Amino acid sequence: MIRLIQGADSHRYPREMDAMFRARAAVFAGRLGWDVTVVDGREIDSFDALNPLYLIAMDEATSAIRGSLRLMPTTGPNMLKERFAGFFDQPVDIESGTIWECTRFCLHPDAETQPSATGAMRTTWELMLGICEVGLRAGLSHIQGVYDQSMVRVYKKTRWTPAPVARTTRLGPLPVFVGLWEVDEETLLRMRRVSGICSSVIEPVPSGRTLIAEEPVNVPLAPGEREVLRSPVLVADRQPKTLSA
Amino acid sequence: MGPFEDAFDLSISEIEGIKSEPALRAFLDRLLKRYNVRHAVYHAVALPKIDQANPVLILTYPDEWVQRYVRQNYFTIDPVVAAGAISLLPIDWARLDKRGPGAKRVFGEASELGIGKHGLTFPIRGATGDHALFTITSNVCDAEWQKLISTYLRDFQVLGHFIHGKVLEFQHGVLPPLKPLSSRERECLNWAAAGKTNKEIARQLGISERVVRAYFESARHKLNCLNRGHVLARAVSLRIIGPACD
Repeated sequence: MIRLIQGADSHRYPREMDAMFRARAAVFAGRLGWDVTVVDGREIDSFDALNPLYLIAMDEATSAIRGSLRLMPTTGPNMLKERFAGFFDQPVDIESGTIWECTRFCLHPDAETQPSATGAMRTTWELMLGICEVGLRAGLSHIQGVYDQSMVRVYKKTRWTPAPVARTTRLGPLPVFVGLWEVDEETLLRMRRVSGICSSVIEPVPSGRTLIAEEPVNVPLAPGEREVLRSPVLVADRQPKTLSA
Repeated sequence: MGPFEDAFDLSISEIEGIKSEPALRAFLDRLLKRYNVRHAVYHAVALPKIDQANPVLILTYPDEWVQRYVRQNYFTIDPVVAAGAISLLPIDWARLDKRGPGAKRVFGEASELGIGKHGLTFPIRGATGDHALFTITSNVCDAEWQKLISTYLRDFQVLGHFIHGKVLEFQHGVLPPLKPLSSRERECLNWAAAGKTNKEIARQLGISERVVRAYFESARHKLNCLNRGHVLARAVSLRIIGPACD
């Protein structure tokens, strides 16, 4: 089962967020040797402050957290473009309202949460199906992802593979790629057929769990974003720029 | 086939002729008829370098509703605005929590004026802290609404970003800053201008066709165009591609 968590809403899910940051430290710093910052056993970067959409794979019965990834629109502030462009052999500045970027895809390595290879494959299926479902829900054309060589055969098993766009050998011991997946119904159907998981993997949200409008919303500012006055606008003084004629 | 590629005979001169917010609103009006959508709302929540919240509204709602909404400052109690501040995914109004007093008031008054049996709101975010919401509403039956959304979801996503891009252009003035195309994107456009198909371009560049499609999608977004023909025309007129360019 996949739980969707928006970064700005993540204070409501401390257990899931903590498990994810710890797993990311173990996988990206520990196992893959990427140059990421770990503090108190957690890997958190500046992307996490920009309200990504997290996909958290959870065991439906036990609520054990098995895997995670995050999605960000390519139209927003983008670490790949801003910090790592120079590392890659091709431009990595693809940008569109219909293309989101997936990063920090990982299976959580705790032996208790991944009891078997089958269990690990199940988590991988759920995450890939989750990305595809989210992509279709958002009207996306593509998902752009950053992954290293070790993930290529994992994607092959799920029958949804990336087409490489750019490559670098400067982000870790193995080559790291930027690649593109296309989002379409055929892909969802194919993955469902091969995995045997034939219904939505995304946790249904009962309407009571969506935002309560009366609570003030504390959305983190993006870099360069200034605090916009959110106090009531005096209509007489400050009309919006245009109203329908 | 990308959005706006078929059926809708949008002429490039029609799109290029949109040079003001009222023109944008008129364009929206014409387009919605083709989609069988009742209303569309572009709502800029925050724009770069502008202190005022909710600085731009371009919409087809009746004046009475807009005046009331603005006068009562429903921006602060509308659950669509609150959800839009947090969500990346489009927000289906049917799934919103409308139980709070503020939500009840906004939705109650809206429905009295015949607005929004069904609504879908696309959150839009840019790189400089800009944030907007693009909404389409319809009064068709449930089954028709599901069909409308699933068929045209990407079109609406593209349309919302296009309007936002236009508003940013108008804000900036005569020469809007264009997002630079990458060398790959320019290569693809040059080959397309020379009449090559995606398959041929992929072979030329030694990359997958899927990546070529993404480069076109990115170029389309960066030049703020609605379809492929438009991108090529704009790229040529801006001298980004063409005989004198690399």
